[in-house]
Amino acid sequence: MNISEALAKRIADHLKAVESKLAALPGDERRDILQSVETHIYDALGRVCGDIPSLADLEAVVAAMDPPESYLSEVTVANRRNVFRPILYAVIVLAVAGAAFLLSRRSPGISAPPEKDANTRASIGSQQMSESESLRTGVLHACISKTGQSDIFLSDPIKREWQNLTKGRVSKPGWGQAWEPVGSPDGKTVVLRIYRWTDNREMRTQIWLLDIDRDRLSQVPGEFGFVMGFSWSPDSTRFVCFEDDALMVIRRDGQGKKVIAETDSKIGGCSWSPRGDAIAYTSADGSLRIAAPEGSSSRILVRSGIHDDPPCWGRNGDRIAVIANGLISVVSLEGSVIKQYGQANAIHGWSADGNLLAYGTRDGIRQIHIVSLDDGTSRPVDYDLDATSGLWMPLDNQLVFWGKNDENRDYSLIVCESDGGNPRIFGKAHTAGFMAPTLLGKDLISGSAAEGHNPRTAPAEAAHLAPPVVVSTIPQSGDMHVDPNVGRISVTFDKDMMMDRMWSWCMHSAETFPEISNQKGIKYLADKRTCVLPVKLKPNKTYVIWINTQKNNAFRDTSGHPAIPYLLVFKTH
Amino acid sequence: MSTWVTQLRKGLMEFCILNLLKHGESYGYEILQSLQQIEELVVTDSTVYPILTRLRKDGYLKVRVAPSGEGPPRRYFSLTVVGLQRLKEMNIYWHNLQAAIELLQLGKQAGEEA
Repeated sequence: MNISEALAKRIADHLKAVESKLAALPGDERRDILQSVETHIYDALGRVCGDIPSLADLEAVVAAMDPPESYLSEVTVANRRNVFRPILYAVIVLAVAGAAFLLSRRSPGISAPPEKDANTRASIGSQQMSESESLRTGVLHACISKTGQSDIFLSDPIKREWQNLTKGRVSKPGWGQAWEPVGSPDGKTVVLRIYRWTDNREMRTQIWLLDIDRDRLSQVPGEFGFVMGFSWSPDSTRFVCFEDDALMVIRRDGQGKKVIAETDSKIGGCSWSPRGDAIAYTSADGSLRIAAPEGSSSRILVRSGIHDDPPCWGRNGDRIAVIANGLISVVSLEGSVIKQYGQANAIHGWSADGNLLAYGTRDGIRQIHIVSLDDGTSRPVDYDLDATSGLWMPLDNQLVFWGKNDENRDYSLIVCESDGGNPRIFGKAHTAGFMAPTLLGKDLISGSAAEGHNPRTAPAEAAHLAPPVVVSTIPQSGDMHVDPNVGRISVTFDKDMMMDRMWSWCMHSAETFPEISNQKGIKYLADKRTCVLPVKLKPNKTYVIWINTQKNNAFRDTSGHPAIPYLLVFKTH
Repeated sequence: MSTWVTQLRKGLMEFCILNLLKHGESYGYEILQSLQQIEELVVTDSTVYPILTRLRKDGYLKVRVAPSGEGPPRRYFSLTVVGLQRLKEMNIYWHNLQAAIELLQLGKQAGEEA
């Protein structure tokens, strides 16, 4: 937390005022209480104000606490035996010195991430990192530099390079730190936000987009309330975020903002499906929901018990990991719990191969664990300090996370192997460590991982190697009000497909499969990606169709890769 | 009425804190937040922090200092063996007291069928 001198002085004044009421106590007890009061202030500030609180924020926090006089009565009742102390004055001096010492340790220090020499802990190795001007993929994170400048950094733990992407351009007078940078899968755009508090304590947010190729920043028109939860569509054309209880989708060019769902309570997190056709989100009422990106439909998967964190899609988009009633739970798109694992307080994500899930626990310090989804065995990541915000690298299933250094309170970006071992530092931050790192250019990294190619020259190879996925259907899956006279169903993939009778429209059951009105009418459109199925639908009926299954997988791209199976469910009115 | 409620709350606070920490360690602000979930307790910082200090001094709680993402190091409180034993005794006493008061409210003597 970045505390100005004025704020530090105000905190010190409050502590002195409380201390004056604790005069009846021995020095150690007094210091105990003062430390509790002091950390209370910081915790409360962090909870309501973010990283750069204003004096008004501090005043609000202090106003919500008991006045110093209240401590007098509590202490008098609890410690009558200690009322008289002959060395009272000396104790006061010591306590003041202790408080001053604590305050002096909390300098608003700032360090530039990532540092070239990050070897701050003997037990963890560090990578020598060099500055770059040409990174296009890697781990994104927000940070404050040594000069107090707020910037977005990109680090590549494989190439051992880092780059400042914004160079002070998102530091706006009167505005807080640049926050939550999230990179598009194609590596071309980063979305981020900056915020400020108004005089009447309302948060205002600006959303910014960074065009990586042109190195150009542009603002999404308008200002918003409290916005967060950025998640890109798999085709990188749009991103989703939420503003209080409204879920909204915005195009990559910053235009076309559309609210696609609203809830009765605040949204806790959202995430775009890897299939592209659904956005999962959690709400403060404990529900897990799914909305169509176009806003045409939304439905509740689980009604209660879900933690309001971002839901975590499985790689194939057929399941979602959430925390339900304190347990890691994998939920199907029908809302049923497929599997449950141990207790957790955060889910960090699925590994690239979909076999491992990283999650966080907190028993004093936060720790990251990795659970095997096959046998349910779990092991902690080999890091003994505060660790949070895990992120799987598509390359070799490596895990990146923030680790807290208990000596200088710096956060380090650490990468470790999929078994949790061999952690090494590859970047540092001072105040923004609790912001989850994200990937820029996930698709490019994935492609390079398979072939070992340079990510910057590998987009064609990446596209060539990845299996095709469904990006849209008509009707949309989950739509409960489909016109029975629609006449045809269509599916669109993200790649060019083999077109010569290469399709697998498959039954879930005979009862729920539509009547095909014209077998000869099944065809691909000229875009080579959309296949059409002529159907005759009945009113008020639920239809369930598999687009490819494990056995029947004739939907294939031009290289012969079968499309990832997709379940299309809708109901006619 | 208000005086009685205030005194009852104060008397229960130590009992509530020990019960809260039975489920794992926690730091001051978090303990306060948890107790504030119980509306009837009306807990504030000037009540909780001195009690935490006293419980520690009396040997019922121990403290572990750990870094915080928000500012100065946090002090995580947890039960000592003595504290756990005391809590067990308090819980037994509480259970017996509660049962006796319920009987009293029903107008029965201890030992009678409710």
